[in-house]
Amino acid sequence: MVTKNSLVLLSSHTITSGEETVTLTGMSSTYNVHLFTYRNLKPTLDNQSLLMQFTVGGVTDTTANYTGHMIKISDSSDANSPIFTNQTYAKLHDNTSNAANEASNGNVWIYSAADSAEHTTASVDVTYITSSSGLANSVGHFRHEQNEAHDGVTIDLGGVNDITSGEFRLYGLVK
Amino acid sequence: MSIGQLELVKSVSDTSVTSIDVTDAFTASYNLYHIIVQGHITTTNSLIDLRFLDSSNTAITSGYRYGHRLLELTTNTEPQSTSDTTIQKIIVVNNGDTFAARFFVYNPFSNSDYTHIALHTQAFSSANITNMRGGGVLTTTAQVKGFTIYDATFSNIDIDVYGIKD
Repeated sequence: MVTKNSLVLLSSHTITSGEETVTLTGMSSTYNVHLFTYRNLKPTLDNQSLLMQFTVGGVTDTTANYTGHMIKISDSSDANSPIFTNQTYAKLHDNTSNAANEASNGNVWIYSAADSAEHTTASVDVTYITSSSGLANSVGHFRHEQNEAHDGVTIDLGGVNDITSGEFRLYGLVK
Repeated sequence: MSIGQLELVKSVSDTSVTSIDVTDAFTASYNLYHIIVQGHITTTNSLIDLRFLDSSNTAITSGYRYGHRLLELTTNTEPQSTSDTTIQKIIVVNNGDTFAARFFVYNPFSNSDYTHIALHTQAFSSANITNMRGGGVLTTTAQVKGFTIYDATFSNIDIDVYGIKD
């Protein structure tokens, strides 16, 4: 039975002009599961990769402990399956378009974030338009392989490339 | 302060049909929707398709791109298209049996953004288990108010549409 407020907004941010990163916090032991969503994310420069990290005490966790497996499923070619281990970030997808009407949209379910005795894990679903105006979906999972609590997420397009636009939301799923 | 909500905005059910329209499901109140579809089919090897409905609740018949990956016991296939009249094979049901699916739909009511859909589907049959992930996009910025699911004989189908409020 789903009730009102079963998904509680913890933090949000909307970008309408260039910002380098987005950090949303508010994850806590009040919730076992958190949901991060974004829509209409667009880079300033074409063909950029979307990166995600967790935060500890509101500070981006850049330790080399992100390990995962994503599958890129496109509308015109066979899927590839990049695997990353012990990286300083999780790459959600590559090749983001900055053309008009073309953007990236996605959701990430986050598990065990507030449990300091467990790894924080995530399940990813992204649908986006590539720099060649094709459709691609990026699905998979990753985790941060260190037993520690995380209280938020950071989104980055890498380097000094700005995010031109996007709406970002972090929710908690009521127990 | 609780300002975010998962809200049930539309429920549709039917029996013994070959298509089902979910009209006026998308409004200006939400930019993101979570949709649950469950049912049972009586036709074999069904490839269930989806079209969005325009502001008059009429099916939009062009401008779709999609790419899915089927995760089956024996094979992995990848339905895909760069130009289609529908988003094909949102659910693949082998030999007729139960299925379940959940979708995220982004930006449907916007007049300035493409409408995207991300898919998770699962079907069961006596011969196989088929999971699929992927998604599609309607490459026009026209307003979308609903969707239709079709191309199979559904002995029953239940659809719940939830809006995720900002």
